[in-house]
Amino acid sequence: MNKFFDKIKSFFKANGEVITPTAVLAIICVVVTLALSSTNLLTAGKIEALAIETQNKAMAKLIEADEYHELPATTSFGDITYNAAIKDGDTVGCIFVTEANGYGGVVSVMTAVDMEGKIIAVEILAAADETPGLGQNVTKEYFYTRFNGMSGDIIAAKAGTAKKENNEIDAVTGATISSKAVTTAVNQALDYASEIIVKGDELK
Amino acid sequence: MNSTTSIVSILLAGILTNNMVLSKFLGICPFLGVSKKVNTAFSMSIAVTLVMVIATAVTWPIYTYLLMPNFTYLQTVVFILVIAAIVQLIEIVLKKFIKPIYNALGIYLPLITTNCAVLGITMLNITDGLNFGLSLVNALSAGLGFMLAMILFAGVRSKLDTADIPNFLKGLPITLIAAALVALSFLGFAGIGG
Amino acid sequence: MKSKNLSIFTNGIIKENPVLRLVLGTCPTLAVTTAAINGIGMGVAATIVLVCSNLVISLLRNFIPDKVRIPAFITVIAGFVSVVQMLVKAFAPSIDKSLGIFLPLIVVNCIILARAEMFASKNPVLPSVLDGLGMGIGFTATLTLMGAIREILGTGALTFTEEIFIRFIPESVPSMIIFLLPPGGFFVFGILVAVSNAIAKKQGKPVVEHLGCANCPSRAACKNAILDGDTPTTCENTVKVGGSNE
Repeated sequence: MNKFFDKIKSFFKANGEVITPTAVLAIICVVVTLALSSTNLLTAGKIEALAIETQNKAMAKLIEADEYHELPATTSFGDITYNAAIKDGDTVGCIFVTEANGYGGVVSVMTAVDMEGKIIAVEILAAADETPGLGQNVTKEYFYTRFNGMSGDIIAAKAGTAKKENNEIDAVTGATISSKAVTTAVNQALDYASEIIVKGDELK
Repeated sequence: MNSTTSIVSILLAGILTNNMVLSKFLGICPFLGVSKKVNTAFSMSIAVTLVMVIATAVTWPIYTYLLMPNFTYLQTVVFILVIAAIVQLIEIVLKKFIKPIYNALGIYLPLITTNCAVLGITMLNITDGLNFGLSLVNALSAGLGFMLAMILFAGVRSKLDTADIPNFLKGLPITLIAAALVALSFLGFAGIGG
Repeated sequence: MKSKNLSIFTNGIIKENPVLRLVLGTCPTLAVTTAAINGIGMGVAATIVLVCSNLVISLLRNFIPDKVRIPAFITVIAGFVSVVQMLVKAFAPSIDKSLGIFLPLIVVNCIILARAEMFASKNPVLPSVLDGLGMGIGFTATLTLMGAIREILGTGALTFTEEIFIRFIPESVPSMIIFLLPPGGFFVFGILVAVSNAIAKKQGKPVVEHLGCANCPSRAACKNAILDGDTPTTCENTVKVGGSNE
């Protein structure tokens, strides 16, 4: 084995100062690429399955149904895809994933709306860029359950000042901007729903 | 959001609210290492900004047209090698054709290859899903934000030289605590342009 | 021989702790330490990369020409980082979520390139692996400690999962969120360095006054960049290590 390496070494030595480094670097790159593509083969399926599982779990948490159909739709805000929740053959609700800019970055929200246009439940998918301990509190259950049963244009009011008759909800203490971002995303979902759900139990 | 407002909000975010150094913790090594004098801090940040914009201009098309959709797992390897090559190329080109700029910035360029701010911004442009134009704006704003942080911090550090510092904090500890205070002042910008 | 290997291993944990004594890898140290669990995740990921890259670079040390040393090291390191990244995404998605972009950025973590350059490229396989393991454990321990301090002060409790947590400060006391924010990171790091300096001084060892220039892979270039009167003392006793651009 050592002889073999010695041969390679002497070959490279004989071939000047340019070829050797280039060749070694090229070999390293090829080996690394091969290693990566094989790892990718091993993990890609798992990563994809995980993403689908996470989404299904989130949807199942929001709205109980037998199956979820991913559907495309054209709205006045542009083309979107959403999930229709089917139970016993009837559509019981629609699930939308929407985003809005929060304090530090994008806040991503999943909203389930029933066929009357009312919110069934809300789940915060991502708020990692919000301030830990303040803005990230929007991911806590006590906050996002405040949306349940609401409809129309929801307004996030400063913590402790929300009035039910104005369709307001209390923001998280010290995190009005993050709370407003969640509200904006939820309102977007409600806007989609109002265009997609035509009558009580029909989809456009 | 129309394009003008998104350009403005990206610029504001990169320079103030999501400052590369002070809120994302990218590029701490040069921030602490090359910030003892305002003029070196300035030259270093110009070099970083230049490399950030050029690196984005090269890596974005490579990712979008070559790596997407099947080879995205090569992103890390390809990006770091491309950045290393770009830094070498910029150095050669400047040395050959624009001597005055090379004399001013040349010594900073080798430091930038392994600077996580450069690799970080090229990757963030991809994860944030920005288009080509906005990616360039984002890289520029990150570079300007880096510059602002460097220059402000260099100013603070020059004051530290004459300050009476408790013995056990002398050296690196007081530098880090000064950085904490500069970062604290940037917290005040958070939420702007959101 | 055995005791020498042991001292190489323990070297990285205390005497040459990469974060507090060599002051390398400051970016991830500050960025991910908002919780102890993140510190552990980052530390373990970096340790795996460090051990693997030290192993491979030590094996290849006689074959890699000097000229392309740095690019070759970076490629090897980037390869391992990508592998770890894919494995974490597939098997520990919550860690992937909390580390975010700092997981791929392990590539430019100076600790890894520095150990490749300073140690693995000059030493046989076994010491190189032990060095990587020791440095990795030192890195993990420091990150976990810093994460724990920031998390306890910032939230009042150490949280491992939603169910498992230990509360240190009663919930009725408002938590000091500032420790979770960037200024708190710089501050806690500064205090930790001060404490480690105080301990070093007591033992008669030199204190850390500047960034870890003497151990930085791009030191040769950095020395030029830092103009006269500005040269960190640690840079002066430069051991001969070439940067990629010498």
